[in-house]
Order: sequence, then structure tokens, then C-alpha cells
Amino acid sequence: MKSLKLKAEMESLSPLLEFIRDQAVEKQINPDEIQEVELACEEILVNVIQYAYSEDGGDVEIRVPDRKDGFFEIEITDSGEHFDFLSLPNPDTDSPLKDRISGGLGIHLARQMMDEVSYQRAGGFNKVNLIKKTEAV
Amino acid sequence: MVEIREEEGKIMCVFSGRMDTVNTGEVEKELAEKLVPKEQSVEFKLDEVDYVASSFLRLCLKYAKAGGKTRFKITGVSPNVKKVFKIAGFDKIMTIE
Repeated sequence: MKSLKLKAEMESLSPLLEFIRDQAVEKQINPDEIQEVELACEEILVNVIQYAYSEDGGDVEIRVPDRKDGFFEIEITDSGEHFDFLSLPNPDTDSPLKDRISGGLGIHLARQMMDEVSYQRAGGFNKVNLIKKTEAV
Repeated sequence: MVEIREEEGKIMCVFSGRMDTVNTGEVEKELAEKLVPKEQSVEFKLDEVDYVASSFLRLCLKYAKAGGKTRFKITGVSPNVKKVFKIAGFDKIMTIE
């Protein structure tokens, strides 16, 4: 298991995504899949950065378990407010332009890019698990 | 990350690089300062872009709402970027080439 913990702020987004990218490259995941994983993680991380903490701030941690079963898994953990943004409704992607709202698009993208995105609140932590079946072995 | 120019009566916004949350925040500021669509058409040219996050989708939605399907279009979209627009259902409400 490899992990990286940084302050939950926009400046951390790039190094956090780089860490995920490095792990994916190490596991020989193909570039298109890496980009999808990266996008899903970016959307979750941005939500954590923007909404998990009040003005005092806090950390966000990424863990990548060492799976060898053809699945790439990422855990994103914070100790902020209990907030399950995955429970929010998906945006209506069929509505006409005038009715479109921008909220919820990020989480919708994250769900579509991965095979599984789940949320758990445990021990004062929010934990989002993202899993993607990959072609890598 | 974005070059704005007038071409044949329309405003071209030529993007380059990753349109992630951080970069999109920067270009959004630049567009807000320099881009006044008025009656002109606006084109977002994405030939040099291979990654877009939801923040960029929101930016597109903002200009699509301002210009409608006839005065706003997105061109030069790579397969990976097209997939993201499609998941958001933007292919039904915007001109994407």
C-alpha cells in the first residue's frame, strides 16, 4: 500500500494527481485508463478540498492498495464534516440547454469513469473508494 | 492556456494544455476580462487539449447558455475529450465538432 497525505487545498491537487498517475504507470495501466482514473480522482479531490473543512482546514490522504487482481483501487480519506456527496442526485443529462445546471457534473463524471465509487463514514473519517477494472495484470 | 482572437467576425478561443480545475480557473478569469460576446459567435478550439474536468464543462455551459446552439461551438475535440462531453450529455445541447 502506498499513500500520500497533504493539506486539503487547491495547491495539493497537482501533486496528489501526480502520485495517482505514478502509481497507475507503475502498474502498467494504459494511458486512456490512467486519464479516466485521474479525472475521477480530480473530481472527488476537488469536492474534498472545497467542502470537507471549514476555515481551519485539514488533510486529505490517498492510499493505493497493492492489488494484483486486475483492479486499480484508490482510497481518498479526509477527517472533515460528514458529507456524502455521492448521495446527491445525478444531473439530468437529457434536459434542454436552458434547464441545465452545472452542479453534480463532477461526481457524475467520476462515477462514469470508474467501475465502482463508494462512500463510507467511519471513525470520524470520510472515505471514498474508487475502483477500476484495468487491462493491466 | 488560452489565446483569444477575432477571426472572420467571430471570437476564437484557442485552448492548449490540460483543462483541469486549476487551469480552468485561470482561463475563466482571462475570458471574463477579455471576452465580451455581445452579438458575435464564440468558438472554443480544443485541438491542443486532451484533458477536461467538470470545471471546464461548467465554463462551456456558461458560454453555451449565453450564445445558444447557433452562436457557440466547440471544435477540435479529441476522442477522450469527446467522451467527457458525451457523458455530461453536452453533445445534445451544444455544437461539438
